[in-house]
Formats: sequence, C-alpha cells, structure tokens
Amino acid sequence: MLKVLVVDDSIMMRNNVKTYVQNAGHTVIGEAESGLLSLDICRETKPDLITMDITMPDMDGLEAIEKIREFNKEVTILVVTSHGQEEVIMRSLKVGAQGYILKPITQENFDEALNSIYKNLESPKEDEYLLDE
Amino acid sequence: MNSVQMMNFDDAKVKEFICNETSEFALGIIDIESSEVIYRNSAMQKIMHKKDAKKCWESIYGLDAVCSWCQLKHKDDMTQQSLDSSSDKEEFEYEYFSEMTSRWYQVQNRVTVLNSKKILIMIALDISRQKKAQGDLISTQFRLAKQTQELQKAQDELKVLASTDSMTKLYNRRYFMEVSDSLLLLAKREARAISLMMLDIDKFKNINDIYGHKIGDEVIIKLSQLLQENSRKSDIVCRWGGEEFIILLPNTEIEGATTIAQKIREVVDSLSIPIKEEEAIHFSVSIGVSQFDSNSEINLEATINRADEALYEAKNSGRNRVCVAPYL
Repeated sequence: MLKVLVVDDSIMMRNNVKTYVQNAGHTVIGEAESGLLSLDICRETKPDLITMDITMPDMDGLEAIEKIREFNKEVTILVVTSHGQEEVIMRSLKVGAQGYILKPITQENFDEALNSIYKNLESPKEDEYLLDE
Repeated sequence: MNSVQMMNFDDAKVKEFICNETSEFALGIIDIESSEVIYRNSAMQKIMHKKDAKKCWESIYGLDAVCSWCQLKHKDDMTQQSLDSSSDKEEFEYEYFSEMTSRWYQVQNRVTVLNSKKILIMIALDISRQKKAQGDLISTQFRLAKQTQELQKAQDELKVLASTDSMTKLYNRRYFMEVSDSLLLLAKREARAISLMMLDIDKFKNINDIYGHKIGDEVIIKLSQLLQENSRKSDIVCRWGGEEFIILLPNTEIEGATTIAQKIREVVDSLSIPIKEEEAIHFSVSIGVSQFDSNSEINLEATINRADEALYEAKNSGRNRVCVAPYL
C-alpha cells in the first residue's frame, strides 16, 4: 500500500485522483493545491507517491518536482497533466518524474501508470512470496 | 427534394437542428463588450458554468484574471495576436481540457460583427477519444524515454565498471592499455614528452602474512587514495595488479616524473596506518621511472619494461627508493 500525496489546484481533479488512489488500494495522506504548498506537505508526510499537476498558481508542477528532488530522491512522482507537448514530457523526465498521464485521468490509465512504474521496483513481500514459490 | 425540404426550415428550426441536446458540438455566442453569453446550446451549458464563462471572456478580452474555465492564460498565448489586430473578423482555435466535464475539446473561436455588435462565436468539439489515443501514446513515449535514460545510465556504469578496479577504484590494466595508446599518439604528434612510473609496495607479502589479507587490502586502498591525491588530473593512475601500480604522466619529462615519484615515496614513507589501539602499519614503496623514447620505441611496451627494470633495480638496491631508467 502506498502513501500518496495529491497535488492539483482543482479540487474536482484532486477528488477524482483520490478516488482512483483509494480504488487501487492505496491511501491519500495529503493534498496540496499548489506546487509551493506541496513542498512542505511532502516534507511533513513523506509520501511514497506524488501525483503532480503541472499548471498551478504560484509554483508549477515541474518546478515543484525540481524542488522536491533537492530533499527527497526516493519519492515516486507521477505527472498528471493536460500538457501533451514533447518539451513538457522531456522536462518532466529530466526533473525526475517516473510517470506521465495526460488528463483526463481514469481508473484504467491510473492503474496502468502505477503498474508500469512499480513493476521494476521491489514491492517487498509480494515479490519475495512469488520467488519462494 | 432534400434541398427543398431544407429550405422550409425556419431560423428557429435550423437553430434547433444544430444546437439541440443531441448535437455533437457545443456552441456559444458571446457579446464581447458586455462579456455576456447571448446564446449557448445544452452541450456548451455542460462544459461551462455561466459565471466562470464570463470570467473567461473577461480574461480573453483584456482583463487580468486567469481564465478559470479553461485554465489557460489566454492573454499569454493564442488569443493575444488575434485581439491585438484591429480587424473585425478573427478566428483562432485551441485545444483544452475541461475539468468540469473531464473531457477534451477543440475550440474554434470566431470574432465577428452582428447588428453592429462585436460577438464571439465559439464552437467546441469533443475530441476526448483522439486525446485518449494521444494520452496512451504519450505515456508510452514517456516510458520509452525513461527506459532509454536508464539504459544510458546502466551503460555508463558498465563503462566505469569495465575500466576501473573495484577495490581501489583506480583504473584497471585494460583501461590503461586502451587510453595509453591514444595518449601516446597525441604526445608523438605534438612532440611532447610522456613518462611513466611503476610502483610496488615493499615486502607486501609480510604485511599479508603478519596482519592478514584484510589489512593487506586496506594498505592497498590507502595507497591508492594517496596516489590519486598526489598525482595531477591528467595523470592516469592504474592498479597494474596485486600490489603493483603504474602511473602514466602525459606531457612530462623524466626529471618531472622523478620528482613526482620521490614525493610519492616520501609521503608513503611518512605514513602510518593505525590498525589497533597503539598499533600502526608503516610501509614503503619502490618506484621505477622511465620516459618514452621516440627514437627507439614505437609503443609503450618497451617503456613499461624499462620502468619495470628500474623498479627491479630499486628493489635490489635496498627498497624504499626511486630508480630512473636511462634516457638519452
């Protein structure tokens, strides 16, 4: 189970994401409505995963990721955005995002994104269990 | 027949035909001066909240607010150019994602004049299906780019692994041979000197026998750090094997190489490595130095051999010393 921080300036979008997170069996431990706010919440709550919008007031998602990476290299970051330009995609990768979803987010593409991110990482118990078999 | 029938539709019916509930596209007509929505069909009603829509027009038409409807800073991008020009007829289109409906729209805007009123006609087509395909593509593209990045990283790590000695992190013999050839070529072309030194820990077998291999390894690691610290950035410091090291000194005459070798020998000689309380290891090194001789040598093999001979001489004449291979 992952502890998730949801960052988006739209409350509607945060609620959507929260539903998908919970449906996938994870817990939302915090939400932020701007990039700037997400920094402190990330420091306090130490999430495993952050879903990050890009266009937000006061600090955009890319800048927020950059800042977060300065103090937290471990957290997985999934960009959830309406930006489809290659430049934004590449910048997300460069600043250290592990996944990228174009809005609208659905349960299906959210699960898919998580699967592709976490298939390489050891999710300890399950993997060990599989190996034992 | 059909066209005749079409002709019979009055304005209201045509309006109904294109704008009713079943319509695929959303239509809105906005009075630009007052920012009021004059007309919108039910599809448009779903996309935008009236209040928010007004804000949107206000932001498009010169006020500072960010459009909360479509979240775009219209003034910054596509609309600016069309509004700056004074023409009465303007067209612009863009794609945007509505968080109200969670769908993508292609929006076509046209500014025109009707009954001497400046109005904006806005048509929004739902392009969510295309966007879904694009989204899948983007996710794949992102994943691919990430994999490429990881592959590149792994490749770089492999390169380091292949060129260094894992214990000392110095270059290995393989890398030395690889890089020394090109450095020699460069030195030849620029008619510059190139020297090297062979270095060996004195009586290393004793250290191993008395203190064990673990301490022996520590001595080697400590010496490696010391060699690294006491050589220049351009020097190639390499673990030749066991307790033997080689340092290639580009752009260095035999005299310079000898000075560096002496310095290394002295630093090692003054060093003591604490192992237990009140016990420390002291050890020394012997070094053979040689310079590449462009008159009689074609590659570094003979130069290395001569350094090796000088090292042998240093060992035979009492150790803890530097011997220089003769250079004409």
